Amino acid sequence: MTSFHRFVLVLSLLATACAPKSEAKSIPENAGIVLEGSDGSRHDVFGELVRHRFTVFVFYSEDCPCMRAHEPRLERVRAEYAPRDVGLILVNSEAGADPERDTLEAKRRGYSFPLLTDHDARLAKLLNAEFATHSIIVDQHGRVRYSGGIDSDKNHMRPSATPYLRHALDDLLAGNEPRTPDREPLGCALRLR
Amino acid sequence: MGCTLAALLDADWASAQACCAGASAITPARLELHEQFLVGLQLRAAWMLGSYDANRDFRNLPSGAAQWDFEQDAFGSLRLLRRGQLGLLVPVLESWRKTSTTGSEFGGGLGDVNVNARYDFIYANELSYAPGVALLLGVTVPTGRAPEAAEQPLGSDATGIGAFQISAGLGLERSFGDFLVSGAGIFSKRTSREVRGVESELGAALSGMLGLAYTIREGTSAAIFGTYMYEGNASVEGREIPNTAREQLRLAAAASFSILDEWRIQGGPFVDPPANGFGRNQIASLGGSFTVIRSFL
Amino acid sequence: MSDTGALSVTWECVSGDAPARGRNRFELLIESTESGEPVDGLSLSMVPFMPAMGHGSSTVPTIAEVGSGKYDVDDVVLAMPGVWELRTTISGDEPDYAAPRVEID
Repeated sequence: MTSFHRFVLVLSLLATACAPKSEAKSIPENAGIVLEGSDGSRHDVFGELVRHRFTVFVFYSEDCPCMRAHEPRLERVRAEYAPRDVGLILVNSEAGADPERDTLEAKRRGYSFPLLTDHDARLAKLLNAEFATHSIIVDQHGRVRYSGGIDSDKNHMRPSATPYLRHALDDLLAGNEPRTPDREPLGCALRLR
Repeated sequence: MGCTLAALLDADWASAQACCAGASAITPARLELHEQFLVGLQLRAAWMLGSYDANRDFRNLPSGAAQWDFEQDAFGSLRLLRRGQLGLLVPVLESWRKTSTTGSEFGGGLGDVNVNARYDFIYANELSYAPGVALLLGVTVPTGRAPEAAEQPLGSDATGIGAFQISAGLGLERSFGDFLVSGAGIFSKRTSREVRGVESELGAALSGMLGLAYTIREGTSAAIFGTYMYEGNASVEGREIPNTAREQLRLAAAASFSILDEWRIQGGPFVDPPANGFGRNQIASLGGSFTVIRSFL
Repeated sequence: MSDTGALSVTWECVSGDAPARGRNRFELLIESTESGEPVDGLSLSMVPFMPAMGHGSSTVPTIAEVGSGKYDVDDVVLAMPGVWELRTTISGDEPDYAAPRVEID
């Protein structure tokens, strides 16, 4: 990208800074968004959706303290909801994300769930993900059922935190709409460009 | 880290001098991402080391002279729009002063109230090829006691500058792993004022801040930074008075500790280097601050 | 030198060896630049002012004529270190103005 194009992009970003954000409603079947694994494997997003009743995409940032603070809770969510046909995928949409590096980092952190690379932030832009720990529940038809944070904690984990993601999953698995369909995720700004 | 540096931006560069200062920081309390509202209390104390003359020479306090300045700032910030915030700062100042000719005195009171605003056009990490960019605005209202209205001979009960001050600037931030580099440039101007029939107007001021913060672990960070202020010559009765420009360099360090997501404490020392060349027509001090903040997500 | 150039205005600190922070007392000597003779009978008022800080003093000095061109100026409160102007308005047959400077440590 030339300097002029970057300047125009920055100007457009400034111009739209006040615009209210619209929430994504669905992932189209023909979206053609592919996430990449470190072994070169390519995962079509819609293809991932049909593997589970619900899929949780959690947007990841390597440097975000809120991300690190929530890792144990994400592990518990994965362990408790996987038997209930819920998949969990960590997505790195940040500029310069490298699948090999992400895999090494995931191994270092002991992740039991995949950390896949979203080149050019296509999935993040489709789902309006701006912050790390942004968690989005999508059903098999590509419909977004929940978009928000993991819980009401940011850096300090407290037993009294409201578990928004768990509540949404429980509600959906019971055949109901989530009691809180959206909730601002309390994470660092993602570097998407 | 950004909050550590932002709190450190509460330097005296935008105020007249310690004796008359209403805390006039642009953004004394910066909302972190996702915070909707915060309130806080900052405590500051400064010991006067001496002063810089018009030739930038440092002069120690005369024998028998001493000055201690204290300040308590109550402040709050409110989220406006998605990326903006509006703040209010109410200062209370006290000063203890002594000279060999007048003895000691103590005074204080309400200082100059400050209203400030910040708008983050770009967050620090939002673009891989550009720093965070924020617009900074501030207005200081002369609610304090002007020096001419002081009742104490050394002006220890003077708490304000006696004029409105308007400030505007830009803040830039960029993170590199656990490090955050932050800078700001601010333009300030005071309105003219009349003192016993003498009309005067201070020159426009430019201030710059450069800081480096490091995240020690989640919720804990440390920072060092420097601020430099230059104010042009003053005018009296429409005539520019030579050798009245003011300059000051201040060096500071601070640490920030997040007790809980909603509570954090910050604080650290600052110094105006007591040596030639680091200031002009300003007093030099050594001091520290301590801040407690309660935020609401 | 006064604004019109007609008078020479000099000061001497009588409250100490040098002007100091706090309360000071000065003696002004006003002489005619043309004849060199001291000038009596002037009506003076003074406003101490600190141009670099844009503020004045908390008190209004009291001035009394001593004679031989000398005027005693008391209650000159200079609260801050730096350069102060002793802005003196001279009333009389030929109004004038002078602002001798004083530096405080």
